Amino acid sequence: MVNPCNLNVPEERLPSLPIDLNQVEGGSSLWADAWYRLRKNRFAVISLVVFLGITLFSYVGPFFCPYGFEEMDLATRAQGLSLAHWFGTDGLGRDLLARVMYGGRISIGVGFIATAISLSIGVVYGAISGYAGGKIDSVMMRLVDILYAMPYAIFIILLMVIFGRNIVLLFVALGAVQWLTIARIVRGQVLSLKKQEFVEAAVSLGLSDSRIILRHVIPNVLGVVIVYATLTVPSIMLLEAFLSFLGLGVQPPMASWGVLIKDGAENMTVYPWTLLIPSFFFSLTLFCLNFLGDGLRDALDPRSSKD
Amino acid sequence: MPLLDVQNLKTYFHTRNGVLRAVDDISFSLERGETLGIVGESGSGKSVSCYSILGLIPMPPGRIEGGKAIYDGKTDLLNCSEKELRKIRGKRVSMIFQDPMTSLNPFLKISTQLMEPLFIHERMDKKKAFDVAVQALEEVGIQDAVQRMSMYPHEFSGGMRQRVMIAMALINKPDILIADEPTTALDVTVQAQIMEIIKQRQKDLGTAVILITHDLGVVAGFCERINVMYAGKIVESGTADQIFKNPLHAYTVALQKSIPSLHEKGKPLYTIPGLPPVLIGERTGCSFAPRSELPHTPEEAAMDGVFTEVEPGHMVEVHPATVVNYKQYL
Amino acid sequence: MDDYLILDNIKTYFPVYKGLIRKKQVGIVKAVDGVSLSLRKGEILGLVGESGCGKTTLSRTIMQLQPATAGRVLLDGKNLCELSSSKMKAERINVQMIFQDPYASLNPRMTVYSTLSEAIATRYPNLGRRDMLERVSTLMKTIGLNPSQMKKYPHEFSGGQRQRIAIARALAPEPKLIIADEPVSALDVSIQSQILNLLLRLTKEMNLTMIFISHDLSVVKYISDRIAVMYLGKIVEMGDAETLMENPLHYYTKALNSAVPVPDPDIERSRCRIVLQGDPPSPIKPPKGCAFAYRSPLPHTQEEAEQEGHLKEVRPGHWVEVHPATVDDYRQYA
Repeated sequence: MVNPCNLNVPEERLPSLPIDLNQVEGGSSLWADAWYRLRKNRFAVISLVVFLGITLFSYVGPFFCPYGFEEMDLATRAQGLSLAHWFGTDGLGRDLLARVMYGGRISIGVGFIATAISLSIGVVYGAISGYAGGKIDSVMMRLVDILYAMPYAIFIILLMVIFGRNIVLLFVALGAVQWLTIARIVRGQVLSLKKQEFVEAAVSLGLSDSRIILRHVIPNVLGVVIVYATLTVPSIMLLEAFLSFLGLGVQPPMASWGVLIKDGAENMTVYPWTLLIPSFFFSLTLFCLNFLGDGLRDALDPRSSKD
Repeated sequence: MPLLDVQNLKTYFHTRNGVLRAVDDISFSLERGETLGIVGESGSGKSVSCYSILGLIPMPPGRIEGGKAIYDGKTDLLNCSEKELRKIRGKRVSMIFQDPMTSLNPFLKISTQLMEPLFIHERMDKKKAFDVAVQALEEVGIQDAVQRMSMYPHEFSGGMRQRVMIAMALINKPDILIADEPTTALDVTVQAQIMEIIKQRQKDLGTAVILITHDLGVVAGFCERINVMYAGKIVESGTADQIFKNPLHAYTVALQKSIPSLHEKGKPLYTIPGLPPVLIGERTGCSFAPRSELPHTPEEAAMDGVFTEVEPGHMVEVHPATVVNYKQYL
Repeated sequence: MDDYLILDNIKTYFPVYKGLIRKKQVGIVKAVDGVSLSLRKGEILGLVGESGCGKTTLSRTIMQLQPATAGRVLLDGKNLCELSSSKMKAERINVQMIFQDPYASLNPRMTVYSTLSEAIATRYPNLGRRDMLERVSTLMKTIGLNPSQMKKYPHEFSGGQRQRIAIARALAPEPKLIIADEPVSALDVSIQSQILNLLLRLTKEMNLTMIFISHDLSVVKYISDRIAVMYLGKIVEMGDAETLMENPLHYYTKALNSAVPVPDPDIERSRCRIVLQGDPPSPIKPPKGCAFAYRSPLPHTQEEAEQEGHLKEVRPGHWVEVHPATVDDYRQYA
């Protein structure tokens, strides 16, 4: 076999030009490697499957459910689990199965959309701040510090009170408070990446700043960001549940898991299933996401794991 | 009776991709007061072999699959209790590492770190330990040792830190000092100082030294005997003169040929063809055969080399692909 | 004048600040302190020195990755220090760098193809896919890699192979000047010789000018035409490689030379080493006067030590810092 690393090999023994693209060996990127490691992690895979199952159940389930989430039937108030109503009904005779599914849509949706919003703000902001450095960095980071100092729960509550309980606003508000941490993490990463030789090499090629950020810096930050994001989703879902519990989140008759838990808690001595069932789904989802986040951290940064 | 007698040591790492045979059946011995050099490139198993003896291999993934390391004719370091090993490690056998920056604890004063082994192994009182520690610092050429004792590692330069490491390693007057690339991270002029100090202290204390390095130049001036390692095996072993003046294994020859300082300017440097072998998985035959320029048939390459004593004290892995005119040695 | 690169009294200082709110400048680190040299086209200059002597800062100053405090960097007659940032961007492709650590100098998320094509595109921005593919494969063959590996990622290659890729990236924009910062010190001996051969062959074939930075004198001696020795931000001796190695005048060069271990037990046993005292000085608190005096084995008075040394041309092309503590019998040069 011709060893390509041996310069004593005469050039004609290397394949001749133009090369056949089919001969190009596929490489395995760090992403592919991480995916491989994730698949080896049994807990993470189970979590992923369960989570996808719950998501499917929430988003596709309602199409197969004969009841709407706001359909009241006073004739079947507060029924236990039955064949007609698998999860029973609540005090107003609404089918709990339908409500859990619709609630899941809102809760999971809020978690992901708000995280996406916070990610896009945080990554860009942090990357610019870290890459620019100097005065710009100081000013941008002091702004983050100031925003950090604001009691964000009160901030959201104020927003809700002033602008009314609007679900889009809820997404935006939740995302807007979460981007701060991401911005800080990204900035720290970028600061250390900036000193890496491959970034210096890109600078000495005369590449534009935006290209360096997009091609050389951000892809190398993404691993950390993904891990953080998977752990942000459950924390936003909790925040939403908390707001709903206070009555500031999703407006009835719309439901989120937070709203359902709140309703259930009010009647828990009488109809305990109205508390237990949504709580179960909510906890299971948070559990899965946290496990997945852990698994992703091990997969994306193999040095930190025991392997 | 040798001070340390390592027989058929095998250290494997069980990784995701298979079994990595980092050290594959090596035997060597060390006499009292002797200087032994272990030379090889990265991944040749030179460090792992010494770490195995001291029980410093992370397990898992590492595992010592077999062999013995008889210390002083009595204790087998590979099969003794953790308690016995701890007694020997640090007291009878000590070690200095490549990076003096990371091998000192940045949160503890030099005095604390120097005196600790004295408390543990010698059960000295504080006053005596302090005096011994100061003396140890002075002996490695640190001035103002008393003031230096109350400083933290970051207040020392790289060369000073390595001196402190040497002082610390020798403070119990061990029988064996294992130095793992002690000068690689240091500047050239400081390197020379450190090697002088190790040599001097060795003469004073009669300690045996195992020097692990990739630098043939360092071993030439320092070691009495040299083991050349390749792909987890010792391929040649002999006195410094034998290794440098009469190298027999093709790898030893090639290593020496590829050093720039021995080259005429303008002529291309000698390079060893090919790459070091992948150590994962079952290996048959001679590991060096694919890179060897000696003529050999595929059948011959699949044969195992025979580790033979070719002249008194000079052992070579004899194989058609490694030794010129190999038949005369069998 | 056929000097391709001229450094004219380059000074790169870093201010040291102290204080929490109102920062006060408490000192200056003179990382590079008045370095002048010139390189002809096609010449290889070896830059030798220990850690902290400013050789890396000097290379970053030439690359304009670090602005010079004073002095001029003339590349082909253009003063790089005065170029606007957009003009500098265009000029950058003429100077490329090879870094020490082949694990840190390649973007781990980019394939060899994207790394190299990005570099090629700085010189040829409008290449079609087919042409680019061809150029990348040619380049990979030039540096001794099989083009069929172009879709692989850096972590799938060994250290030596990565350094080849890094060299390919540096060559891709067809630069005139290459700065190689310790390109082989992270590599094994057998790989080291492969990379040195490659660098030598390429500089010859492409008529490249190169600054080769290293702390290893044996490597520098082999590869360079001329050698400059740096000590604490200054050049202390400079000259033809042969002369400098066979007949060094400055005691620091002598000490460096004698510190290099020779793989021959006889030479090693009989040789008399010049072992310097202490460590290289810290550039934050440099000693007054001659920075080498306190390590020098030459006899000199305290007064003499506090004098500055001067770089003098003692023979055509051979420059030495003349000072009582640095050269034997310094008066003959005064």
